[in-house]
Amino acid sequence: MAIDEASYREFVLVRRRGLLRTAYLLTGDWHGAEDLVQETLTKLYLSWRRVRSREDAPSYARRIMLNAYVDSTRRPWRREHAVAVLPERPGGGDPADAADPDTRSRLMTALAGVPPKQRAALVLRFWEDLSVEQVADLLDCSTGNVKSQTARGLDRLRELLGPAQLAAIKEVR
Amino acid sequence: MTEPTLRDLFKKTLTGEPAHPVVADEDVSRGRARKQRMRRNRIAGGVAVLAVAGLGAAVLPAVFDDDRDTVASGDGAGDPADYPPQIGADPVKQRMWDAIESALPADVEVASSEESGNEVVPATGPSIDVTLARGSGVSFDLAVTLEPARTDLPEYRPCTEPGQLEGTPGQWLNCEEGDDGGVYRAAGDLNDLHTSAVLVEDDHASVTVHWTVPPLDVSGDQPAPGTPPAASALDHAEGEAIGDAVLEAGADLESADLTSGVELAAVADAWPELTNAVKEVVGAELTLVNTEDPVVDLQDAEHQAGIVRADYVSDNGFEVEIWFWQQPRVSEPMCVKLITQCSSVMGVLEVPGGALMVNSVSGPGAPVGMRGNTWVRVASMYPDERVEAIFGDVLQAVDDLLAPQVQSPLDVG
Repeated sequence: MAIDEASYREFVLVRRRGLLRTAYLLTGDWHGAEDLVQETLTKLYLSWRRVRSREDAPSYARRIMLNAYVDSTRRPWRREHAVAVLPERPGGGDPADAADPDTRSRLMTALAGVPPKQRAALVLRFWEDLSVEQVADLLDCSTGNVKSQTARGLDRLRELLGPAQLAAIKEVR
Repeated sequence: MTEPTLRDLFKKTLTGEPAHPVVADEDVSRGRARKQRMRRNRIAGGVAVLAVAGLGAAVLPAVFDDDRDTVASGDGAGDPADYPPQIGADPVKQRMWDAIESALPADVEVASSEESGNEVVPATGPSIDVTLARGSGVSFDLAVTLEPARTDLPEYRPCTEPGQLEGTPGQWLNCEEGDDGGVYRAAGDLNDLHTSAVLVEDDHASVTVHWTVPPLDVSGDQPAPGTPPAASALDHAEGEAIGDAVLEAGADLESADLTSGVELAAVADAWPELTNAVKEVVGAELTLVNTEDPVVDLQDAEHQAGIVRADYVSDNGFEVEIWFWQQPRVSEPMCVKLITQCSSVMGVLEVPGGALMVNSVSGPGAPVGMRGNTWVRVASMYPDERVEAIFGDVLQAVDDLLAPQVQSPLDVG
């Protein structure tokens, strides 16, 4: 049985940009994010016949991406990893720098200081807007673990950004 | 000014997102290329098998079956009658077996379980133990396990980091490892070279494969250490092919489906039953030596790694020590220093450091699931011929208690 490439294409067209954004928040740079998305979509292609329903596909892709991201952080020789401090990029650098460079730089530098699992929990909870249960399922851990990872991630961000920036964020769900 | 939420901050960082158009064809091309590369690798492996076996016609269809759906598809299990008795109706085991079978050399087949005279029952969890025969009838045992990759643990690198197994029969020798396209592989020989093992893992799952060649007993001579295993078993490349096939078969399984083990609290809850059984075996009342009955040392609640143990003395002069431990993952050794026992990929082994005890019999029991092991010691103050029998009966009681506790998937709430 051949892979249904039409439905795969449709998925890529609809979801790729969202995946790239999440990947960027995880990795901290667009090049790393693109690599992560390419790897995710390649693995998804190989598994496409086994994705039982199209509704499951986003979650399936997210899981692949999370695994690839966590894996890249534990096996640094395989892939590039986020640096603790963003390097200077004189002229012609990342276009994101032009938008709100101060906020971007501060947040991304702060995120780089958050351990990978905590960072993943923050991105999934507050960017992807997933529930604790959904994040637990994706990260393959307990809901209590997600809550503690999220709380520790927020503490770390507050510590790095200053209390005023993130004082309003609370773990409410 | 209101304080920004984290989502607001995330959004701000994304405002400068590169505005490349999405071109789905590029992702399709990458997917196709990866698929073709995997197919080429499989064909190369298949051709090597053909060269060795000279049985091209028999294996060509499997080698060129690009769809690779030799694994069971859908949610339901296949007919258990189509599988060896070790597999039964478990759909995960059936997938594993389909993958193993597709990767076995053409001249290897399952040895009839009737020959052993033992009833074969599928073990709980994604593991397979099977006796195989190659060529002119030399048989060997093959064990394959599949479990989720543990990204929260340091990588286990058996070739370069034997850890506490260094210098023991559990150390991997002739070991080669490498990382290729996101898949880590290690292959080596253990147990005075009478066992070979392979570890294959990616970011989703981890597969161990190990196989033995029973020592030749025709002359009664044991092969000297350093003698390679008999050529009639599998070689490392063939073991890696099995590992790769099982890893691929497990790629679309949920991690939860690959978990198995016992819940340590459930073991503790059932412990009084074991204590009663030991009382009957010993024929006397027991007094607890520890402060708790049993002592539970839960080291990792999420994966239920840890130790449950108890130590008793009986009114008629026996000492009975019972240990159960569950390691965090199949591939990685876990040592229990107090009893100088380490679980390795090939089972429990004793490491140097144990004291010689008179009037005492000790040793490991049957494995409990994929990650659990037991160890029992029975001693008497004076020479007593019952020690050996009591030891065997206690081991049996431990096995009877723990075997039904194994869950797959392991659900610890």
